[in-house]
Amino acid sequence: MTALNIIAAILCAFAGLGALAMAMARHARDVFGRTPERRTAWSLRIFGMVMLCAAYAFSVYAWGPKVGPVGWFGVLSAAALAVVTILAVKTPAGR
Amino acid sequence: MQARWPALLSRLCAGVLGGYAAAAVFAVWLSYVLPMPRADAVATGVLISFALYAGVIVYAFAAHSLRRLWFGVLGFTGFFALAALALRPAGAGW
Amino acid sequence: MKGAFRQSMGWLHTWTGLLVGWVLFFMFLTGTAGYFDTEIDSWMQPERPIVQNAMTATAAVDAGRQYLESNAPNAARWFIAVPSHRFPELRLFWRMSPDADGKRGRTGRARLDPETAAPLNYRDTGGGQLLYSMHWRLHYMPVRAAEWIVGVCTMFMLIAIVTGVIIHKRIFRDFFTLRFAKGQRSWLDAHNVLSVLALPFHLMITYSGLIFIAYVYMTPVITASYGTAADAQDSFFNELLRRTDGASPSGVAADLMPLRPMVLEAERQWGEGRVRFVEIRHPGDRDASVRIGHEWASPVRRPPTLTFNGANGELLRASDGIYSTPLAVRDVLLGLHEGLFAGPVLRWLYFLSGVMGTAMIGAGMILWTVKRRAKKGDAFGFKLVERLNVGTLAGLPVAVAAYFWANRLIPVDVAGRVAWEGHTMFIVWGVMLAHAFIRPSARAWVEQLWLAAAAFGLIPVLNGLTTDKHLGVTLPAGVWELAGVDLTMFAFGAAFAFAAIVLGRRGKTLKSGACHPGESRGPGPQARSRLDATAHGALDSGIRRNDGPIEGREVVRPNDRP
Repeated sequence: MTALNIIAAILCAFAGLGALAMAMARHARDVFGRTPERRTAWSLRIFGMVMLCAAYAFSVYAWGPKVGPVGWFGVLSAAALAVVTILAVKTPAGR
Repeated sequence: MQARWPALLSRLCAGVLGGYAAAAVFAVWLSYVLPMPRADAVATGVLISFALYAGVIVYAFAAHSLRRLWFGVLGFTGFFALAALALRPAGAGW
Repeated sequence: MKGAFRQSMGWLHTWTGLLVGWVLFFMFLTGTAGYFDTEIDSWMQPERPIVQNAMTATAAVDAGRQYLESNAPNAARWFIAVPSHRFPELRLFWRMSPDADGKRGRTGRARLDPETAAPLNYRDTGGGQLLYSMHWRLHYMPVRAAEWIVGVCTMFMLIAIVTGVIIHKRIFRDFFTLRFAKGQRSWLDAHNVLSVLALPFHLMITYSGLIFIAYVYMTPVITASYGTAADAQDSFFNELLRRTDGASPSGVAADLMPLRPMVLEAERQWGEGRVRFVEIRHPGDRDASVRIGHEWASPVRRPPTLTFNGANGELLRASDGIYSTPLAVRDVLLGLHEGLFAGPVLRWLYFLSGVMGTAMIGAGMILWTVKRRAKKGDAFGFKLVERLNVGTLAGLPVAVAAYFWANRLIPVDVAGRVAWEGHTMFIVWGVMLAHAFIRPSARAWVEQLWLAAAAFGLIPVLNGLTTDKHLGVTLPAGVWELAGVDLTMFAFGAAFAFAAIVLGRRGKTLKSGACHPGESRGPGPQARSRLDATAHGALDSGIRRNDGPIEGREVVRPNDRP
């Protein structure tokens, strides 16, 4: 159960941070070739925030109320690193 | 920042030495005024002192003029030194 | 005025970072390895049997007591660490009574087999513990001196973090930004990303690092309340920790009650398998006390405990480990720093954050040289920094790998082999530094990265040739603690090899003058190297620029373009 919660936390963090990145013009352009509309960008931001909250909830489920918050920070760092790496590889050279 | 050595050295001293004095003296003052058992008050002072120390070092390089910097650091330290001196409990080491 | 402020903060950031960057790199690298200290310990003692079932707490106290009664009968304190999954052996410590002139008593320790309770005799090794302790204890110097050096460097780190946040112009807009093959810009991106993504970790680890040695630095604050008497510090700690009992024994002999019922009571309250240690003060005295500690379960470093009267078995008190707010804050900071409560996944996340911190420092150090190469490439200071960078950012990892090699290659029965394991690491580091000063720095980077790749990548092979705890055994048996060390070493080896390939290829491209590397290429292999190779990733323009003067010809420097 713990393992499933941890996996869920990591996936939520990854989805959330990915959505936040896609709400940003530069990264959306690198991935989709165009910038998101205002409405889309806001939806992405809200979705991203909700996902980060969900990641927090899963962290607390996985590790308990005392260790969970610590785990959440770790999960966020790892997920953000994954998002950055993917974006960096996707970015056309010299941009 | 202009890398003029006398000015730089002055800021360095104000930050590193003055900062330590300011942090230590403030922590002592805090340990006298906090309404808790003295060991806890001392521990609280020590916990906070490093944040203050770092703050003073940063300020030492941010201050516009050397005069203001030294005035600030010495004034702060002096004020809390006097306050601590006035408040020191009987049996304290000084 | 805002511009001037930011400028002076940038200045402060650059120079505090540069001045202690190499020491911080050493501290971060060894400290990060320290998150797996126990796993490295096991790896470095391949004679240890693979334990499937940890000993129960009740069996442990019985076996521990029996050993201590016959080996340290008059001790002032016994400590029995109950075996757990991560520490499968039964570990015992004791401290004898203070001698006549008040000097602290001698200490001893033993490790027993968790199945037979027989004393264990494994090879002497510094293990993960030596590697871990280097990050605050350094090496070859008295503890006090090391504490002051480490403290000053940690303070510099705190300043660098604060100023770094101030000067980062677009902390949110550039949150995910990492652009490869753009020379200086890429290094700045890498440095920023590694800093920002793990910023909570960096801040926590730095401030809590200071708190570890706070009482050394802020002794005057204690003196101001407790005076200058020799026992002033002791009375401060006694008050802070609410120590009331166990100061001195009564001198009246009394049999120690059986420990098993006390452990069972603790397990009844906390649940089975939750007892981490049993500590007995003044065994055999009428005033004996038995303190039972809860396993690591939260960032608070001080565990919940139950204290029993040792002479009649009565439960004296239960503590939740929290005595006062300031002490709890301190305990949480120190607990977060050490991460002893972390299970396997969280431990890996700690390790990852540590690697990011190490890489952040490395990227910052390289950024310093990349920024200045054009203008100051011939200055003495520049060359010094560049050489120290090679010898530390690439050379120190080689030295750490050499420490692992030394563990396997120094014969088991050599006297002083622990010391020689450590010597090997520092000798190799010295050689790497010398090499960095002798060779042209572009070549030195590539050569040392290849060396690091070989040194790390071949560790699993070395392990296979010298022990029976190699991947062929540990993987099928699912012993991840040991297999993980081999696999991690191999991964680091691969990362270094990748960095070396990228750098070497760029060096060649440049010499043939075919193109400006990084400008005309797609996000080829160099694009992927940065993060996994940590600080030693593609050295980007640095390496190319350096080839110019060495080859006696000027090279176009893409980074200098607007």
